[in-house]
Amino acid sequence: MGQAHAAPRKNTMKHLTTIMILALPLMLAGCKTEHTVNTNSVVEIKPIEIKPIYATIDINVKVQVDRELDSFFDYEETLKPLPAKSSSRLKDIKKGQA
Amino acid sequence: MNHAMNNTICGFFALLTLMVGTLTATPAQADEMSDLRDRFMERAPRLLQLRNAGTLGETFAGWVEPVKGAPEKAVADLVTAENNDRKALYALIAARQGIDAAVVAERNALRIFKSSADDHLLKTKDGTWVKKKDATIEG
Repeated sequence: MGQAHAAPRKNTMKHLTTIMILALPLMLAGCKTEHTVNTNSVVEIKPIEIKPIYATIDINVKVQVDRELDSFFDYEETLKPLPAKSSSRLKDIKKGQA
Repeated sequence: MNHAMNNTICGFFALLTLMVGTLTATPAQADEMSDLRDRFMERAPRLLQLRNAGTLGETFAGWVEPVKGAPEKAVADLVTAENNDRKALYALIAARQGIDAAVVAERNALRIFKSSADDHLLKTKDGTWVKKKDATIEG
């Protein structure tokens, strides 16, 4: 009588073990976590603005000082021809100011 | 009556002092300017080389400065000589215009900034070195 009960229990245990073995990879796969962070950032570099501190001085004085300096350093023009890029950029700056 | 006369006499002496000052100072100043110009011209090609190489840069306050640390002695001497002469030039022009030398220095800095090549290094007000091509210059 006791042996008759033991056989189905053994079978049940076998089934459970089989199910466990089959389910184990699925369980492991379920535990796996994957993190993906998209890091597409666009950094916009703005040009640094250089402004005079003494912007409040009289415009005539400014013009006179600039003229004196230009006249004093006029030899520089013969030393180094301005690169094309730089001179066109200056024109752009002057246009922007006008 | 007396007061008016005193004013006239004071005005006359002030005018006389100004005339004498102008007559005596101008030739000396012209000589000094001429000497300064010669020295600037002599240093200019070497300075340009060093600015092209990124060894030296120009500051917003009107001085030439080594970009990275202490340079070799010859370069350091060149920088000192250039800045001493700039100081003298700024003082001369400032005296003539009756303004602060710092204003002249800044105007010169802007003049240099504008005529610099795109890769030349410029030091802004906040002490940052930037390439000319990364800056917009106003003034």
